[in-house]
Amino acid sequence: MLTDIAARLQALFDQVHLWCSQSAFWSGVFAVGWSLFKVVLIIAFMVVNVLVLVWLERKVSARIQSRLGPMRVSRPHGWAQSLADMVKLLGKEDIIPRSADRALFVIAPIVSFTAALLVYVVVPMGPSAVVSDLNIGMLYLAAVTSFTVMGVLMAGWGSNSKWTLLGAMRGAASIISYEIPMVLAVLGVVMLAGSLSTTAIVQAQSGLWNIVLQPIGFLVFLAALFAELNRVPFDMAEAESELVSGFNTEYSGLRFAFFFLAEYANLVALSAIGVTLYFGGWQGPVLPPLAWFLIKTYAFIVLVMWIRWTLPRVRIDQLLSFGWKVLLPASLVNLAVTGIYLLWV
Amino acid sequence: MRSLIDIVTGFWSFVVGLGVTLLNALRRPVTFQYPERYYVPLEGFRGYPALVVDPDSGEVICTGCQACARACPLGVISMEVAQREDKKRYPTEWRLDFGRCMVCNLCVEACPFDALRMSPDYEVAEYRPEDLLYDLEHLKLPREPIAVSRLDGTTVKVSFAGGERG
Amino acid sequence: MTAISEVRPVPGGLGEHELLVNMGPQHPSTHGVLRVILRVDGERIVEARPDVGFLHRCFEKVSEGWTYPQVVPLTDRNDYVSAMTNELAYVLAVEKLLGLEVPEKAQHLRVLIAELQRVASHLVWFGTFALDLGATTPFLYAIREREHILDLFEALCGARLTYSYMRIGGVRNDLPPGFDRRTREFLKLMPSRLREYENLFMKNRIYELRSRGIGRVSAEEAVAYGASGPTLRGSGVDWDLRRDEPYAAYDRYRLRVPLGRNGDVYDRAYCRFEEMRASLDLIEQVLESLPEGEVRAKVPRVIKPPPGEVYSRVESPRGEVGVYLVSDGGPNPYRVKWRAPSFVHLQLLPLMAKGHVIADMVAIIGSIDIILGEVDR
Repeated sequence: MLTDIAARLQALFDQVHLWCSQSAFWSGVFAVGWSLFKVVLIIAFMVVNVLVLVWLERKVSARIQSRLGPMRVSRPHGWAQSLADMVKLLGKEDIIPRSADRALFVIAPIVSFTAALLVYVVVPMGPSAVVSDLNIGMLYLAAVTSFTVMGVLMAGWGSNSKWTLLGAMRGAASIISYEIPMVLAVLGVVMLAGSLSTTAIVQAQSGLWNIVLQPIGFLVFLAALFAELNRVPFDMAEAESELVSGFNTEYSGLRFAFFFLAEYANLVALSAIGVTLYFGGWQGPVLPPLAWFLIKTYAFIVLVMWIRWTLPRVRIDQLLSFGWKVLLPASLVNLAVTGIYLLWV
Repeated sequence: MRSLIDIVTGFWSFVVGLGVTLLNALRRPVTFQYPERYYVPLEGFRGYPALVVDPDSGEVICTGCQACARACPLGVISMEVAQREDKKRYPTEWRLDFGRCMVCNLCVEACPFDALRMSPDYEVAEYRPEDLLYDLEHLKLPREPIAVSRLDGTTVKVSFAGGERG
Repeated sequence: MTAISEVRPVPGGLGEHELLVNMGPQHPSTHGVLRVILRVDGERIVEARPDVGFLHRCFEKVSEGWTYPQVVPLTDRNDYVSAMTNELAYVLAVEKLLGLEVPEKAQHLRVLIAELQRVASHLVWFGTFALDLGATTPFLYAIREREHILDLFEALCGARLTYSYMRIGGVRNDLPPGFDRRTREFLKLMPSRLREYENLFMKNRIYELRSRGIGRVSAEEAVAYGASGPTLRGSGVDWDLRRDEPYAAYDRYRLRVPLGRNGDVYDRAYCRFEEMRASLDLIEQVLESLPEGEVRAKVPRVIKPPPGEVYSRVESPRGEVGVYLVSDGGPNPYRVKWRAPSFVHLQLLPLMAKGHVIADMVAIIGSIDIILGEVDR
């Protein structure tokens, strides 16, 4: 039944594709339309995942903390809570502080959101289910993930508030200290696969997952991931108990929702990347690739949440020294060991 | 070398912490959904000071002696008293400004006739502040026993009607 | 950013790279409505000035218009996290003024209740302190365990926060049935839970990094500033009113007093945490040797102490709570002065915070465990 529909859709797609390729104009329209379709698909995937994740995060934290968590909005276990929250946020008054830099203030959430969106381009969800199998996938990823901090910086500066400024400066100050170790850790995986393409990296893990070959690299990646995602123990830019709410203190309603969306979208994206790099991506027996991809990603996300609800927050200077003095040497050692392994084994 | 050991022990402390949260995640949650499941207060819970009703006549046993009103630090108790044919005094109006009451139990202790007791009812929130001005009718304790729990985990029905003191 | 410094001039003016930040009164980690005016260079604190008074409710003045017994429930509202010890401090003062003999059992009950209250109060401290340092989960665990004590108190006196239990001349009532057994169950449960807290938070490497060497106060400074309780003992000064100047029935029991050495956030927190264990031990001792008898002495309906003045003090979970009472022979106190430990400890804040960063500020405020209800009264 399902394969039948898929086959028909494929046939229809081929027909349209064939028809469009007859003229230069129509093939252009087709290319644009197809890209737009992909974008809409990514956004839909992202939003649905975020809604599930917000609920999941609240449930996981509640379970860890001996609470029930959201229970009221629909049975079982209040699964529609995030939908209700979304509607609430949309109905909120849109406040822009009078002294804020209007342009920056308005653009910042969009930048954050877009940065999160861009990561999805190279996430392989199946053998052929990747938006664009760039041959410089990992390089692209390293470039795009550091883009998130631009949104943070713009929001922090644009709000023209002291707490947001402190939050933004923390975000900007810490980015280099965790981005470099992260990229170096990922390099180990790239060396093993011999390619920067995410699909190739997954295929290289058909026998043994990289987590076995790269345990140190994985730990470095995990630590940097927390800083990248702005989560406890490294939630420097937000730091609720210190900076009120950090860079997004002045945001409310829809704009806040965008930051929120971006944060969780990043969580999905980077967890998916983590699965791709170290846990064999979509590969697995019996079940279809997409199912394996989702199972692994969600398991990874639960791990991230578990850690987040256990640890206290480090201080900003401790994050910097941790990044430079622990993560960087560790990732270099990992790189050296990987090189020796590739040379002699 | 020292710093290497430091990193390993530090990492181990995180793993131990994760173990604690995992252990607690496996325990049953201690909270419950309140309006769906009623929280039975413990015996002796101070909800608000209320008037004990004589089970035979259905009238309050308060004699209007004003001892409670004098004992009250905030002066939230006021009453109007009349005299029956048999010279017995009784309150015709009894007011408690519950919005200002701090439920300190001093009025209950001051009462020489045990005519005042603390109602274990805690669902006393109102939408309008004027609804917190309790009158004689509102303050009468129900004659049926009220469910309260005890420290040994049992739930019992306790009578708040006059006569014996529970 | 200079606009604010023009509105509210800083003594000495702001330096070139300095920023004036108002931490509070609306801030998630100032434990209520404390305002700290921070002069920061980047994130480093150049100067911290606490500004109090947002929760002032005229406790001392209101007391003057009320009779002696009526003030008891009012004292609950000072340090609302540890209401029982406040009541105890006040009734001890009145009893001293009256020269009243309190029944033996009431004295022991007071110790029992005060120590349970100390554990409950320290649990709240532990939770909020962890919350300040970014760990959310310990807070929920601490509140979960505190619920056991609140249940005991609810059965004891009918309230969960503002108890109105201590009375001039004793306590309101004897222990309810089942109290002994439930307390023993709690005593059995608690040590394992304290070990869990340790594993989760107190032994965590991030916590150690965040607390060691932060907010240092030397023993001399602590004494000079009038610190008391765990804030004093964290600096290594061996002084505990329960042992060194016993009141109620504390002289009958052995008390272990945990001490710190460096006077930093870590040591203060260590003292508080270990005090929970010491208190549990004390509770067990009291349960073993609770005498029989009356719990309340006979006192006249209208209490009119002879003219005079007394100062009475107890060791509250936060430090020395002192009550200075002046009587003119009438039914109302002529003057009530409340010495609140949190208020005294806030004076140490500028000293502790200097040179640290904003993140440490939060840890420091958490480590001295201030209750704003008590600071502002």
